[in-house]
Amino acid sequence: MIFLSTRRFDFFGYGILLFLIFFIVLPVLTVFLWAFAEQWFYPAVLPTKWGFRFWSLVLARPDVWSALITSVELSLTVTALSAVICLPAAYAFARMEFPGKSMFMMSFLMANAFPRFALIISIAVLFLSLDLVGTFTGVVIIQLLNTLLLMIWLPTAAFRAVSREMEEAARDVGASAWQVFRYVTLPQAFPTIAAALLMTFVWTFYETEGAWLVGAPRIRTMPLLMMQMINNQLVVQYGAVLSVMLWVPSLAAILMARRIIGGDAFAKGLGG
Amino acid sequence: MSTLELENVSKQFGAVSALEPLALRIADGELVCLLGPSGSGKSTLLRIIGGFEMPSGGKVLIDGADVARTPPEKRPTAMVFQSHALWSHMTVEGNVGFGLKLRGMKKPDITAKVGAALNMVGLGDYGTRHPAQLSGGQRQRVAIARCLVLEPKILLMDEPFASLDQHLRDRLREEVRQIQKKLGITTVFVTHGQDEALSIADRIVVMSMGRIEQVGTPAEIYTHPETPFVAGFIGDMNMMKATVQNGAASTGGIRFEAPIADGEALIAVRPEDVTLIPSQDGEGARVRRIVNYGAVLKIEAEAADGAVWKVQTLKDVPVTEGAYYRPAVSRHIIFRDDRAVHRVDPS
Ligand SMILES: Nc1ncnc2c1ncn2[C@@H]1O[C@H](COP(=O)(O)OP(=O)(O)O)[C@@H](O)[C@H]1O
Ligand SMILES: [Mg+2]
Repeated sequence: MIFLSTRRFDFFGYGILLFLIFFIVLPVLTVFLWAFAEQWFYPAVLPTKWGFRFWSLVLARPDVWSALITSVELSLTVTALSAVICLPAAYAFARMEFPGKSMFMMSFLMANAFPRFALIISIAVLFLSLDLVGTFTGVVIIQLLNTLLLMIWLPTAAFRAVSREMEEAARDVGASAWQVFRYVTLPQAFPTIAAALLMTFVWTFYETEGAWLVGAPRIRTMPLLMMQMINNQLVVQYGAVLSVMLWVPSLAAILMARRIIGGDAFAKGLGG
Repeated sequence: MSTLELENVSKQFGAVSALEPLALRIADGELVCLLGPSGSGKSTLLRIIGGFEMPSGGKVLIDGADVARTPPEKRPTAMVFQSHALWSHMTVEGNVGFGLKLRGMKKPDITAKVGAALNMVGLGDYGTRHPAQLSGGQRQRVAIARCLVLEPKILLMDEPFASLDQHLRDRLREEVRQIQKKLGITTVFVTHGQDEALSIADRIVVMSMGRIEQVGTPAEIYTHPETPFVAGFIGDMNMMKATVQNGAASTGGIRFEAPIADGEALIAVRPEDVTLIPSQDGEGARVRRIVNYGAVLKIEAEAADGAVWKVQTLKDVPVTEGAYYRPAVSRHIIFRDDRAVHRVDPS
């Protein structure tokens, strides 16, 4: 019986592995190969001519650089603002009682129950009348709205999970309410909060619908530029090079997070 | 040199009354156990002393100063929580030194004090570990060191060893008692285990349903319970319903002297105060069951009126299952209207 079930589990595990290879590793590998291929004709398994020609072509374009800067600026701004607005709110939701609290929490859920695209369009219409369309501020606001749920729910759950007795023990040895937060609550909730911040950064970096509807044509982020390039010129390599470039920030963010938080805690924060 | 006095302290949680107005004085250096079943208000009372709950009314006096409205961080109390409540992101040293750091003490002084406190609980070599790397007993030791290092006037402990196994619990309890005596620190110790209370307390406060039932030394509580609740809660007890008539009551085949007015009463007898005297078949009480506890035998004997006597004797007293004995009682207490009204105690 036990023998059978372990064997079954193995099949399951291999199944997942195959699935991952087929749908994630293979495409990623292909894109990587394309980014460094100057020529790749049909039956060949590997590119027929390797090189960095398309990298220099892409990197020579000013619109690529300005899009990259826009994206990084946008993501940093949104993440910082989101932290400043949402973390205190999350703490209040987790630890304080005030009238309308549950309604507040519900309203965030409700907002996310609507079809997002429709919501963004109606916001875009509103932004038109406010002259926010095509502005950096406009895109920041729409991305903030996008990440609000994540940045309130995750940290709220994190703050809630901090043991009351731990906080009381801190007061007991002389910590003021602020010191309890600073030295106990925040460090305890930190892995989850860091994960939420990271997800906010990455989400904002890769988000396209809101950025396009509110930002176009003046504000152009990296993913928008990539879509545009792929649509306009059917040179696969442009898209491939941009894709590889697009991985850089999320990879950097994850590596940074692992360094700061430590692998275990980070996985825990993401629910691993 | 610290005393603790509670005057008229009460607590309501909404409509629920967790504590009825109560009074208690704890002398300097005394170790007092709050003992009672779950939900009797022990933790609530302890948390009121520590400042984690505001009393609905009354005063909490430490060395004569009322601290009922003072937040925990400004009180000269320190608490050991049931769940140890160590800060898992700090090392053992970090945990013990945190309070000193908050007081602005210099690093070398903190290191010295933390070292001394950890030595006192036998964890001198564990300073750099994290709580996750310690056993349950070691964690509670750290929690105790974290309190002691602050030299509090009052030490509070809420069922600190409830989650540990019996053996470890006994050992830690003994150690706590020794440290407490050495430092002479006034201590309030919450427990729902009577053994724990009887073995370490100078005095026991028995609580039930938000009320203090009785305050006394372990010996007083055991031999002179003032209410049927205390009589039944601490130690084994035969509790017999009986009707008093003309200064006497009969139950379980025994006639008890009861110089009180006629009417219903409860008669309480400790199992070790019952002796079994061999009698003829059909007379007295029949032994139903004998359990050997090594040093003692615990016996159940059923009387003709259906009452069952719990009896405890030394193991070399010959008793046979199924045989008949006449029970004789050396001490008993008579309760009426939830108070002890008469006591027969030759010693
Ligand atoms: N924060 C609270 N809110 C409402 N009721 C409470 C709260 N704390 C304790 N109680 C109630 O007060 C009573 C006493 O509880 P407690 O002091 O924890 O008892 P014990 O420690 O003796 O088990 C219980 O009926 C409990 O349900
Ligand atoms: Mg309790």
